[in-house]
Amino acid sequence: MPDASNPPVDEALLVRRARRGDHAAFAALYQRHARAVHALAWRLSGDATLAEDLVQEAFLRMLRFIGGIRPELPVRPWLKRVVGNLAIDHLRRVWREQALPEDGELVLTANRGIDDIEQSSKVAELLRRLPPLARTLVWLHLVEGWSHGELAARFRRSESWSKSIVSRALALLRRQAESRSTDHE
Amino acid sequence: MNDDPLRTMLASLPEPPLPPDLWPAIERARQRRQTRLRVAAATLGSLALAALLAWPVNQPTFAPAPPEASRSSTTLVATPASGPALQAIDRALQTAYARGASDDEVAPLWRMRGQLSASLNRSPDPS
Repeated sequence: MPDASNPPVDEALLVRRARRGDHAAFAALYQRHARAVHALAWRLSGDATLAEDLVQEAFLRMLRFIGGIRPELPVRPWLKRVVGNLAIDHLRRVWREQALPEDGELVLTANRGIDDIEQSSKVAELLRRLPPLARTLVWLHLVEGWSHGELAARFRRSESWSKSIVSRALALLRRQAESRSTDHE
Repeated sequence: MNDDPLRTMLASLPEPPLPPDLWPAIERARQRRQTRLRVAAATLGSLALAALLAWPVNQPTFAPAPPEASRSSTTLVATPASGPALQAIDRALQTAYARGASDDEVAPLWRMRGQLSASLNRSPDPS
C-alpha cells in the first residue's frame, strides 16, 4: 500500500511525474483516488470481486493513457468515468446471453442482508437489491450526473430507454423506502 | 435534481473500505504489463539490429539519380533500403516514450539509432 504519510503534492506534478515513469507518483495518485473510485465501482456492481476488477482496470488504463491525460485537469472525474464505462461494458457483455430488460415492472432481488462491506442504511440495501441495470443507471444519472444522452450512447440505446428505467427504478426505491418507514412507525 | 432527497441519501452513503489486496494486485498487473512491453521493445530492437547487420556496409546508401534527372549533376536520392532499420528503431522509441519509459530504458535504443545513423552517413561511396 502506498505510504500515506507524505505531505500533499500538486496533482498536476504527480501526473507529470507518473508520465515519466515515476512509480511513486502513480502510487500517490492511487492513494488519493482509489477509495472514491472503488466506492463507485462497488455501488455500480454490488459485487466485491467485480468492483476490485473495475478499479484495477481503471488504474491500469490511467497508466496506459497517462500521456493523454491533461495534468491541469483533476484525475478523479476521469477515473470515475472510466469505471462507469467499464461497468456498462460489463453489463452489455452479460446481456449478450440474457435479454435486455425493456419494459415491465422492476422488482427488487431477495434481501441479501448486510455484508462486511456494506454496513450502512436501508437505502444502500435497497440500491443493492435493484437489478444491476437499474442500479447502474440510477447511480450514474442521479449521483454521478451522467445525462440520459450519455447513458443512452454508452448503452447504445435511446434516451427514452434510459429515462424509463431510471424513472421506474426511482419510483420503486421511493415506494420501498416509504413503506419501510411506515412499517417502522 | 440536487434537491432530490433520494439523491442526497445516495450521495451521502459512506465509502466502503478499500480492500487491502487491491494495490498489490494492481502492482502485479503493472509489472506483468511492463515485462510484456520490455519484451516487445527488445524484440523490435533485435529486429532493428538484425536489419542493421544485414545491411550491406559497402553498398552506397545513396544512388545516383536517374540519368534523365541529372546530366552532369551529383543529385543523390535515398535508396529504398535506407529506411526500414531506422523506422523500426523510431517505432520502438515511440512506443517506449508512449508508455513513459525512463531514460535508462530508452538509452540502448538511442545508442542503436546513433550507430545506424553514423553508418548511414559513412556509407555514401565517395568514388
